[in-house]
Amino acid sequence: MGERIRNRQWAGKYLDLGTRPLSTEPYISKEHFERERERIFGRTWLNVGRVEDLPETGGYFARDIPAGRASVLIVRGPDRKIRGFHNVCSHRGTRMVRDDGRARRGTKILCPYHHWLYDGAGDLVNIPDEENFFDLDKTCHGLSPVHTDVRQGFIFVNLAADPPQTLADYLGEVMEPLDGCPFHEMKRNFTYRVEVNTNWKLLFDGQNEFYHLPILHRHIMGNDFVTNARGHHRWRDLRLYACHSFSAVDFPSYRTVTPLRIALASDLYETPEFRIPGMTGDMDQYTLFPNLTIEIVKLARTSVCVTYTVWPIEVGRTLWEVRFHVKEPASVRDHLRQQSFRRVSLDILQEDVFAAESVYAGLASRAKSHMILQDSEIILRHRQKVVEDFIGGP
Amino acid sequence: MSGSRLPTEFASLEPYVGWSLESERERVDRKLASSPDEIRSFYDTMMGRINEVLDYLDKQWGEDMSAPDQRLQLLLLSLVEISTFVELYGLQEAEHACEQRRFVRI
Repeated sequence: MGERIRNRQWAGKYLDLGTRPLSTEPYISKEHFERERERIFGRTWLNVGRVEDLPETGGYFARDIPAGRASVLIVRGPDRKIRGFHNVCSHRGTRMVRDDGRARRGTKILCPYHHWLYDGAGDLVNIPDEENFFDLDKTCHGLSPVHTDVRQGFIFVNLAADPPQTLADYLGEVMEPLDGCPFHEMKRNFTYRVEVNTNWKLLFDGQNEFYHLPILHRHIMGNDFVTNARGHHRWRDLRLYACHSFSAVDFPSYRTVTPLRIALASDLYETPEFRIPGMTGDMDQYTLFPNLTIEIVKLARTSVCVTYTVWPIEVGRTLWEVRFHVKEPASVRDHLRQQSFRRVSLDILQEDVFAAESVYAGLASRAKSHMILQDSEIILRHRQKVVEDFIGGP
Repeated sequence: MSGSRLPTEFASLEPYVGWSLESERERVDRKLASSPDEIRSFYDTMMGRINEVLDYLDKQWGEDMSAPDQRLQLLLLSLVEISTFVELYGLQEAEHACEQRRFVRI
């Protein structure tokens, strides 16, 4: 334990990241944002959902990707294969399906404008009044495919015509500890969307430094993570990869106890009913650049997963999607423990949104040219380097 | 109030049956529309019988719960909804937080 709570330990492990303040310009510059759209959101692998989102017998959902100026359709055809297409009709370019976060059953996609009809493989199968067109060969006018691949049940797309890396190469080894994670058992989801007046990187940053936890979130979880003797957060473990990162924290034995938690026995950790294997700490966080964070949390009695995706809209506007993945509850107490975790998490997220908007407003004033980072904020430093490497320097 | 809407064992919770709401949005709206005193009173009353309620509902748990049992369970969901406000924020609105209804459940 003593080793883990040392001061300034991570900068020494990742020497190339340095310790200098970071420029604030990348958070507020429209030009920078335009380059991010093209070189990051147009070329990297973006998480658009999970395989459980699609009915096993076939179905589809739409996912808007404003930073890529695109919307994709993720389809599971009758052959069970998952494919991605641009959500654009071959006739006159209509965006066909609305992104409302819901999957539709069936494998036929109908354009609402003139009822051109596509099947689960993206082939154009029917055109009303086809006889009145000119030399039209349906077989040449299927939906435009988008590179789509799946890892650990997470569906990713890449909007590039010719992605520079396969998904497997792009992810590398970061997700390996999740190989035994029973995501398929955590089919019960609660999903929220919130539009945040901030730069997308500030949502990423807020999730990747825990310096603020005992301070901004002092009411809601001031005592819930291991700190040093002065009450300041320290990571249990941290790994920085080419683009991605992993971090782990531990819960102390003296976590916040409330009357409801006692009634729900959610203060008791020693009698787990469901545990996710392969965890490093009590809460592990995988940040898959640029848009997905997977959080695995060990609660009393049970474990849960929370995923976060960021969807930049403009330099100062971002859609944030937060999703709780839990097991089907086995009792009323189990159900309430899950709901209680969801409630606490939302309180935390309301504070995180406040912080992300406050920082953006502050930076946008250009009062400060740089931000100062401490050792626990090293993932932000890594993230900035990754962004700059993609867009080719400031 | 017409008759008992909750299981007869829990008649003492009947004055709070208005908190038995189907959707998360309704529960959030009710919380935000209630005064700290109203929330405290609901919390204290529910917590006064929490173990009995949980023991009772754990026995009824399943797909075919009766309507009164379902109402009782929805009361618990409202209790969870207000719990952090009472237990962790001390009935004070969080000073540095965005408005809750901006999080849209989809």
